[in-house]
Amino acid sequence: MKTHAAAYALAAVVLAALVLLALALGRYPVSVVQLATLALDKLGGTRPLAPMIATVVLDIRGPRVLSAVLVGASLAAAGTAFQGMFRNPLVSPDILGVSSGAALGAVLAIFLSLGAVAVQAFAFAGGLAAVVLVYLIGSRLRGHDPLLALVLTGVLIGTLLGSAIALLTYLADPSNQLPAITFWLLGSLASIAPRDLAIAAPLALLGLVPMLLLRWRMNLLALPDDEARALGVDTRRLRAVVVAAATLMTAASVAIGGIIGWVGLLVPHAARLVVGPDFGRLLPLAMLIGAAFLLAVDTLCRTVAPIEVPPGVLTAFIGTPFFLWLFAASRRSW
Amino acid sequence: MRIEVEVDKRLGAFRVAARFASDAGVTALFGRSGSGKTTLLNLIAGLARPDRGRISVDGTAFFDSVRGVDIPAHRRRIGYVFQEGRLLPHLTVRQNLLYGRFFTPEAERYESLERVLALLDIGHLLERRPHRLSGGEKQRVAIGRALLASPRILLLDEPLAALDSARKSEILYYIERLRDEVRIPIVYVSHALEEVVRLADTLVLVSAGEVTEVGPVAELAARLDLRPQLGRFEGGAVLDARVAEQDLASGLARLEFAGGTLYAPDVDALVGERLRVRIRARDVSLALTPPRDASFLNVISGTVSAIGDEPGASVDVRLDVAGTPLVARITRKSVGALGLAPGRPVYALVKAVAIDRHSVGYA
Repeated sequence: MKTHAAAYALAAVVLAALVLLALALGRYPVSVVQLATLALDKLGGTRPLAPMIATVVLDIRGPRVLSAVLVGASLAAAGTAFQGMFRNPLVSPDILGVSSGAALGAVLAIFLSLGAVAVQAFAFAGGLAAVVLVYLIGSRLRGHDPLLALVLTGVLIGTLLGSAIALLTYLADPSNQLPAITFWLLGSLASIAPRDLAIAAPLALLGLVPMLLLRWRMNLLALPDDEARALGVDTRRLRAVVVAAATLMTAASVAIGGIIGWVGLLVPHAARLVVGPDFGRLLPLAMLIGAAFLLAVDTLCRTVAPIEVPPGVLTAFIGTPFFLWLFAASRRSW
Repeated sequence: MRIEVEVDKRLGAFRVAARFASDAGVTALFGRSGSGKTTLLNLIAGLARPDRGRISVDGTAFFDSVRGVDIPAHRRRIGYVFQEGRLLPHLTVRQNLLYGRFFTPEAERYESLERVLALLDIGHLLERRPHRLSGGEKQRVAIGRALLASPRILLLDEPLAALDSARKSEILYYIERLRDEVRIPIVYVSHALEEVVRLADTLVLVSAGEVTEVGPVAELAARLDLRPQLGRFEGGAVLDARVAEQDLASGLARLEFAGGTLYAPDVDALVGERLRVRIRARDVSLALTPPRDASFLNVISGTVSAIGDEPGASVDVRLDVAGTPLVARITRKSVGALGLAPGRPVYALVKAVAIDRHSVGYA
């Protein structure tokens, strides 16, 4: 439909503009011309540039911009997939405990005074482990609606892990570990190195691929289980794949960026208000909006005040009015 | 086209123990609400698993507890039509239909979109969204989607239950067409005798989780001992008839059946078409001599073959009309007054008006 093509185009253009803006803004302003020159230089030109600009753009801001795009798109994709699978608009990627598990992993690593790499690795492993646990328990609970069993188990395990995090926080050394824990829990894209991205990006992509391949089947999850099975959908296996894919994307994001809420819950809604619930159309737009949104927020986080503001603080501040406007301006609903 | 079912399943306090086999085009599972017929359908579909037993369709074993066969629902290649046609709301009718064959490998697709559109008259709805369809249209699309999967068997669970009376007739017509055009077994669950009588070839009576009777519709419909189960209000004999003449002036059709002639008003069929006619027992009166100066157009001569023995003021009388059974429901007092007994020649009087469009179906 023509309006949908316009929506994609607009989102892509906005994202591209935001990328340029993010690379340009900061304590060391870089003009767009300088960015263009740098790009030409990198692509094989001969004009040398002030090394400062290259360092700022390529080593400092570049990875951060890429992280914001990756994390924003991943969380939005995971949220879209889960909202479709659970047929519930209030579901976020954290519903099965991936964030609690990742947080526990990270906090444990900090508590044990392990290095930064270990913190990320523990976070990723913790997130996956939590969801595996939730899925194994939830799918064994016969005699209940399978989706309800999953959600309840997710909430229960999530709160259980939350208590473990609280315990570790309480026991942590107040001078070294506690600040690190608090900082990690608030989430931040500030200290993401290219090496971290090099690992997280393929993992997130690994989660994205099944979602893209299964996008037609995803629509059938909107039907009651019986009807989907009668049509030929192996609902148990499809649910397992969706959970695995969304969890991979979320765990990779949380491992490098910490806990960033709001994006996974509300960006899918924003995209749905524009293109409707057809998963094949919804997923790309949600990812574009998620990437653009988190990039905008993160850029503000590092430019609006002398010290960095955690993204979790600003996502709701900025996102809420934007979403309310979008909701008011549109007619359709879920 | 053979279906063989022999299953046992316990659901809490309710137990389903059913056994039937059918070679027919349409097999109807008929029974009251809560009798277990939908459970039986779900067992055939694979949406529920029997505790033990065997289910086979056209030689393919869907379930066999002895040999350890249990094909999951999504691989049985069934077409299931639910009470409410649940279509994907954000897709067009065309897209909804195409989802039907999405999971069927190309090699096994015998059904084409064109044929389904023609069969169900939904070609003009292709680009619409479900919210702009009437209940009847939605059900037709749901049936179309089930058909496009090129299923091995078509299962319909009270597909007319959510529709109003006018829509019911409309869909019944299309399901009749389906029965005649499609070469797969159809299992139809209903508690409405009217639907079952028009559509089914084989009737399976289900009561409290058990199959109590299996047999051809015409035969079971005329059995006096089954009248309580089939429902006394709507029940009656089922006849095969052919349209011999359509009188445009009076609007009456003259139908010929094995036992004689019937006149019925406003029959929407061409001369020569074969019909299935249900004569409600409560619409049949009996007389020892043909009445004079009365409005009855249908006066059929026959012999009393059996008289029911249930208590109460009314009683069923089964007649033999040149080999075809007919059932009349009259008062016990009249039975006595006329001296009716098996073997007694008698005339069955049926109001033409009683043979309405709910009673006539295409054979």
